[in-house]
Amino acid sequence: MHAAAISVQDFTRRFGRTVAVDRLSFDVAPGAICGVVGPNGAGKSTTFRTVCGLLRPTSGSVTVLGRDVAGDPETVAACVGLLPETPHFYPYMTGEANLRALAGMSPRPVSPARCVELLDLVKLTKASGKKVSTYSAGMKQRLALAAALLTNPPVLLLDEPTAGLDPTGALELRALIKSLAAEGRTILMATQALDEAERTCSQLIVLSRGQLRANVQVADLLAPSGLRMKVHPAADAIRILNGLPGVQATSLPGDEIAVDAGTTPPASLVRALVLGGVDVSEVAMHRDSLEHHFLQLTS
Amino acid sequence: MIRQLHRGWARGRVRPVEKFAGASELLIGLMIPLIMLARTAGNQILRTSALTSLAFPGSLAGGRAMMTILGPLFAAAIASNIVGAEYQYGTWPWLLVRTSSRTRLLTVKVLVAAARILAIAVAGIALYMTMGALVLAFVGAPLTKDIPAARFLLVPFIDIAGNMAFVAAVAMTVTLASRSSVFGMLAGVMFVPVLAAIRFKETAAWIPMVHLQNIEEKLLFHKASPFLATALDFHMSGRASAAVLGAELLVLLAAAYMIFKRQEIVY
Repeated sequence: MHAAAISVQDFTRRFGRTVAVDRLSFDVAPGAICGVVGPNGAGKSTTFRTVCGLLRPTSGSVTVLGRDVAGDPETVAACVGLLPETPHFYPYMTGEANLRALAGMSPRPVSPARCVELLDLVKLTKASGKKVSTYSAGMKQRLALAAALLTNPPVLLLDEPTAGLDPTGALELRALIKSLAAEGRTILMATQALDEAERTCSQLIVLSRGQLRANVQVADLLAPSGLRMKVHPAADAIRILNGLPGVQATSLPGDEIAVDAGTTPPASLVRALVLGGVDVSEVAMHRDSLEHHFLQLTS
Repeated sequence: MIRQLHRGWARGRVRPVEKFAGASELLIGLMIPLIMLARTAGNQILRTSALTSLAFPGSLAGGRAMMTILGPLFAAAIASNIVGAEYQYGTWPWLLVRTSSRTRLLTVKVLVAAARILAIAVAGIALYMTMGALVLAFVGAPLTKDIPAARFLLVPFIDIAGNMAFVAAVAMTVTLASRSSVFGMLAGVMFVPVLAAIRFKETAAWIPMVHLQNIEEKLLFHKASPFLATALDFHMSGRASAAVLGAELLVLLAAAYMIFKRQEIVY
């Protein structure tokens, strides 16, 4: 078992004078869903295109399951499934025929039964006999996911997988992605939707202008950062709380205060306030949104 | 490889350019004998000439003439489209992330294109000859007339096959370089007339058509072509011509390979 399913080390990619990705390094553990977020032009697609072997790094290394993408592309191709940002198919062929055609080009033989099974998985069985030119964007996206899964790859690269899907379709696809990861697959997923990254990913890579801004576990990033209390009068509450050891309170607009309680349990804070004659009407754990972190990291 | 060849063939079968190229070739092969019969009604001299043309081996020569004109067009269309369609539909990335060996991918494309061009050419000629035979049977005329030695029937096809191979190779190479099947096809179609236009003493040694003609005449008459010798000062042996043709075709395919191998194709 390799320590990292995907390992990107000092990866730089230039297009002429433009540096699309600059000394990017990160690892993705086996079975993780790693989201790559960043504004347009951050280098997400360049990174994906390199991991799947379509582009070569200018410098640095990219390995998948311990195999170098540039040096051993044949092996890497066999263990990677790609869902591109805008999937294209042969429009004059049916969905099923497209899938079978791609199956025929796969490094490993794929049975016709596998195509039928995947069409069922992505809920395209009814439309499988229709030409792809009649498919909606969402249907093409689902067909692309089926194509990515043809060889049952242990690593999936999903570039904007829910782009073009309606809310229900996006919800279903997110559930499917989670179930695929639960089966042990490693998933690298680029997305512009921060709520999607928050709901789906266990690890987050934040890119901006081709550089790594953050590589964090989503659970750590979204861990509660303190308490919010609605109190009256607020000035008395701040005075009482700041008098407690290891507690720091600051005022917020209205009757709200932000409290960094340290190791003091919330119940002790409430008891101290009530004993001091302060009305406490609301206590809530506070955490900054992913959007807040993203804007801080990319600004 | 066999699986990929089969899939490559199956995919092209429904691709519009291949489908319509094949259909129009077959339609032309089907219609010409009928048109010949219809147009010569009421003129006995023309009718006799038409029936002679439709009788074997005249029908084979007729099919060959048809292929001399149409063959390069279909070869250019198919060879350019077999790679150009992947750019047009944006499907290269799908194939490249599956078949990381570009050598194998291009080999499959070249073999499928060659097989398809050959199939269309043979089917077109066969249909023309069959229709000719049916027309002759319908009017009660003899099906054959003065059959010559086999080499006089088959050797003239070398010229057509050679031209089609070069046209296809040029069309595919230019399509890969320009990523445009339209430009590739035009380049392929223009290949024969452009080279014919620059066929001088100084250039003859490099012109494929000259070598093809040289090989044909050597095989048919076992001596140097008087035209090539006097007009173009061309005196190569048949084997030397074959070697030059092989080398030129190889250079074209190698160029196609090098272009494709180094090309960055992304989704």
